[in-house]
Amino acid sequence: MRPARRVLLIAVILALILAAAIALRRPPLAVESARVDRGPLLVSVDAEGKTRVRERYVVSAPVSGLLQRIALVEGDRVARGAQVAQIDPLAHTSAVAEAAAQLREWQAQRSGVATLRVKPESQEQARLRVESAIVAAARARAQSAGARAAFDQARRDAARYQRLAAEGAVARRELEQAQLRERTAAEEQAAALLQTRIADSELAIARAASAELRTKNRDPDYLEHVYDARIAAVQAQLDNLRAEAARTAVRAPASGVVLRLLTKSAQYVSAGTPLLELGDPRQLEVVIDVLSQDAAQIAPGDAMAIDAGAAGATLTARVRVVKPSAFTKTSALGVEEQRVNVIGDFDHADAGLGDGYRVEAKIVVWQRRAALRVPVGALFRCGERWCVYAVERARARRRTVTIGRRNDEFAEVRGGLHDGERVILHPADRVGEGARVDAREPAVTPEAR
Amino acid sequence: MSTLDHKLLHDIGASRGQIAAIALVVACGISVFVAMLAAYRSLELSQRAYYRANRFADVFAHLTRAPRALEARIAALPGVATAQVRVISDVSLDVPGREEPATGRLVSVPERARPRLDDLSVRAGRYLQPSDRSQVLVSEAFANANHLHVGSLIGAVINGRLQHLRVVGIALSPEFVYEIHGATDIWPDSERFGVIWMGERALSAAFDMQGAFNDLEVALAPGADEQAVVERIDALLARYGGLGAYGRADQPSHRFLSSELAQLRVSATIVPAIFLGIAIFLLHLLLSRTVGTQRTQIAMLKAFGYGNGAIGLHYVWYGLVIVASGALLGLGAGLWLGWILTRYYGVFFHFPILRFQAGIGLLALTLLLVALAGVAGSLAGVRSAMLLPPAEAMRPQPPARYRPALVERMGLHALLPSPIRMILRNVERAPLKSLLSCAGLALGVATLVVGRSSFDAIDLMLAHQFYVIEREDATIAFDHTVSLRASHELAALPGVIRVEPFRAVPIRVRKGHRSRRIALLALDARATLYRIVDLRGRVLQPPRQGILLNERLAQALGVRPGERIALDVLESARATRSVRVAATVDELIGTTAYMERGAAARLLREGPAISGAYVGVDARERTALEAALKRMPSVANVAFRDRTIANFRSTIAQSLAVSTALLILFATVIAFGVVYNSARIALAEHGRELAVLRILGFTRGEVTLVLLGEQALLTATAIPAGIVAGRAIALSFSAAYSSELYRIPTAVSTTTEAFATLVIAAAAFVCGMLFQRQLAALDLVGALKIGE
Repeated sequence: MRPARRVLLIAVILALILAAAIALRRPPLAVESARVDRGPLLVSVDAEGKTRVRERYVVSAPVSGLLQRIALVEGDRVARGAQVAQIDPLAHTSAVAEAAAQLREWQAQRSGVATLRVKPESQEQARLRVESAIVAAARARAQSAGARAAFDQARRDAARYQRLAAEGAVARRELEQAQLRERTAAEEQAAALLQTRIADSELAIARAASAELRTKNRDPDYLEHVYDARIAAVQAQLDNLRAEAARTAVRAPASGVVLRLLTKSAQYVSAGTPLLELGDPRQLEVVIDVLSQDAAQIAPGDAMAIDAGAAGATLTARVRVVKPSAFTKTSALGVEEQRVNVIGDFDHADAGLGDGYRVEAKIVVWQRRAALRVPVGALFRCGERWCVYAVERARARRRTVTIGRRNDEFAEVRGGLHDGERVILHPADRVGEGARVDAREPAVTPEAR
Repeated sequence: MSTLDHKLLHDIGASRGQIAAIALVVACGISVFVAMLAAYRSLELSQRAYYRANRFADVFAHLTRAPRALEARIAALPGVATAQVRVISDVSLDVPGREEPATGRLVSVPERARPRLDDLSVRAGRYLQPSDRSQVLVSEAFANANHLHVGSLIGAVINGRLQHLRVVGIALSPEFVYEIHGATDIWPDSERFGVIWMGERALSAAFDMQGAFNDLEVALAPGADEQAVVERIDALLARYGGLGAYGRADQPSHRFLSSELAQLRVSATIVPAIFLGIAIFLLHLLLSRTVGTQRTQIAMLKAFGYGNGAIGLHYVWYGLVIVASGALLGLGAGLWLGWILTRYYGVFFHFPILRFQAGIGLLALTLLLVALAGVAGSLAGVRSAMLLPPAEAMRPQPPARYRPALVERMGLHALLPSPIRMILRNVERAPLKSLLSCAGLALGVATLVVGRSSFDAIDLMLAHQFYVIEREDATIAFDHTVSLRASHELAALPGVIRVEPFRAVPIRVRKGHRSRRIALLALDARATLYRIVDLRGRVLQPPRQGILLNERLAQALGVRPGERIALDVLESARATRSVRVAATVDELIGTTAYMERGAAARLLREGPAISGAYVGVDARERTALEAALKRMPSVANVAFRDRTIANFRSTIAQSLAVSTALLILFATVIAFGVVYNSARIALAEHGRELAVLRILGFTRGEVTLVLLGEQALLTATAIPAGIVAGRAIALSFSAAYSSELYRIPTAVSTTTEAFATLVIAAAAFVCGMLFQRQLAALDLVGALKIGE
């Protein structure tokens, strides 16, 4: 073979090999990629909750009675002190009249008690009798004392005359006279003593009579006490009934809007039956129940983004209080969990929502304005660490990255990637280290109209 | 033995190599034909026997809840032979030794008697006894995949409570020949899905369904109109939340089995047709050449008084013997292959008895086919032998007329060495023969391309479905519609990075008289884990107004974007709404319509309710997540994407290995057959010239180059042609196999093309090497002496 031909042959073979190599070369894998960038990153606790009026007043029937139909409808504005409901007062006024009559009856009864008392003249008479008896007794006692003194003198005289007579100084007759005087004085003393006793017993009789009269006078006192007590009770009842009768006109405890009418129609209600709810719907707060483990991350003052659904714009709110006590609730998926209520206030007074509306809340527990962030779709685990495939000169390169906080969209990059680098989103298992890739932005067609 | 018989034996002995090659091609065709048809017949027979023996129902219906008293009314409907009501519910299972929860379909069966329809075939253990309420029968596939046996305990979350079920038997049902979970599943996943039969009383009690049912099966009376019965049942069940009755054609297991059988039947005709076509061509080549070289012998025979008929018959016999020997080999191999194929199908389709029966009819059909091929192949040769006038035949064949090849006429002759010019001239001289050789080889290439392209298509589907559309780590489905709160609950579980809730509702879309039962999938706008992506990779947003329909479904319904369709909600309130078709999407699975979640909620007049969620998971926390999900009463099913993919891949890998081996064998046989035969014939035709060339000083290499170069050129031409043809066939196949439900994409990867090229080139090369060795042994100079 001639050299020219040989060269040609070799050239043809080489060209064929080259063509085959090009044809067999795997086309670069089409992958979706995104850019590592700086931007806001917030980590939030997401939960469902509802709005509620901050101050809610439940107006209930203050008294039992026939409620008249409530003329208000939900949404009506009510000023503080305005009458919102009326319970039929008739039953109450008649009860007042009845109680007043009863009172008067008891008062009359009480005045009748005086007639039963002892007359004052007899009492005075008895008293005087006692006094005179006392005087008589005193006199008798004085007389008795005089008689005893006279007797003592007579006895001493007699004794002396005895001695003298013995000595013979006096005449016997004189002695006998002395002795006679002594006997007479003794008898006189005995008579005086007897007289004293009579006077004493007369005093006792007079006293007893006086005491009996006093006792007789004390029985109507007891009756009076009974009547006084009855009168006081009826008086209290009457006051109460009068107050109740006054309360049949139910008044608004505060200004606000009728949120709910709980009892609309005329009916008999017992005291305490809730009639309606009042509140100011412009003064709303949100109640979000979060899992207790999430509640630990939330602090008063944390920002909240509130999404009420179709309303469109997201509202902002701030955590006021994280309730100190959790409660047990069975979740939508049938698991018992501990949940904590987080209460938040809207930043703007008029949220345009009503009371008890369902809301989705994102409670921001961490945020950074310009965090270096990577989409979470690019992350995958390589052992214990996180990895991404970065796109370098149309080739996939595996990188180990350090991740800080993350939400369901982005993760904060603490190391391993730089601003502006491209990473592969949701790498398929065909993507490997060094694989040639055709990185594109996700192509999203606009929604069909 | 007559002289002609002797001659036949001698002729066969003389060209045994070529005959073997042709016989092999025939054997391949026949073996495929026999194997596939035998498998088809066996499966069909097994199916029919199974359906009859176990009383497979004809019409099926699901509903929300209806009183059992309705059973008698259904049974009394005209056209209904037997009715059977049941309670069916999917529950989450805790299978011993498995981390993630599996899904069990609990099906009620009577405790005291056997089911009247869809009776079970108990494979091990025993049927239920009325005494114990916790006993169950488990489907064989699920039991095998999870190593369950009689006596095993399975935990099941029934109505929010964990209950232990005791396996007392392993069973099969004609309802679950192909045991798939949902209507959109393609492959069974027996590790994670199984059927569990439980006593009627126990099951009804567990689901508060005493005296009620939620599933109905009906056997039709002979000659009954299925459609009429379906309509009557629908009318009766409408107020009980009926989801629409359907016949066997829509019963998932039956549908898959019949479509598989239909595919088998199509393949059983196409593939053998290719082989037999090639065989006919080769036979034609061989016989034409044989008649050409035996001109003088024919003339002598005619001179001795053999009639045209006898001579013709002789050559027909010659063809028949070749084909018959191939057929015999093919029959044997085919029966063996058929048995393997049937058993392979038995892995996916569960029959109690898998009969293998080829049948006399099949053998007769094979023989007829073979005879036809033999006659067709030998026809031209026989005809020329019969028409040959004895006098003219006494003279040797006139040399062929040569003229410069096209390349030479273009003035490029200086560049080409003379052997190459000879090759080109040879090819041009017999354009039809060259074309047919080329076509034969191209068909070999095409066989490889088509065979591999189905796996390319599956690969593409897999990549599109699991890397472009679905990118979640797990899909969690709840057993009933729950509040959106549940998505926050999922987000709080360990390892969950992102949650995208969805709402799925069974609906029926109607336009005029056409209607389809599909699923409405309501997704969040801007979802990133599960997206709607068309085949061109464009991401579509779920519409906030109107509904997004599959393109093929829209075509089937006859609607265009902007038009309105009626939509029946087949759930709870069962309202009917009119909705605008916002757009259509070209995607592979066509049974889903899409809407934005809020829009769907408004359409359904419901609050933010969800049926499940797609979640992104931190792989490190996965075990903890699985454990947490297992304990959640409302979680009915958890599917991890990587496990689904792995299951897909392993299922495909098995069949890929087997089918690749078979394809290589077939393509090699074709390449061998064509190349060897053509080369042999070329040698026979040009033996003299080549000998002359040798004498003129050409080296042996150059002579070989002339002979084999022609084949190399043909092979080189056949490869691109075969690839093009293969693509075309693959396209028509995918069109044939695609339905409204699935669209099988046409994909021929570079790897497939390279594989086809390599296999054919290698086969041709090996064949050439073998031929060269034969050539070396041949005495070329001796060739000059003969024929004078």
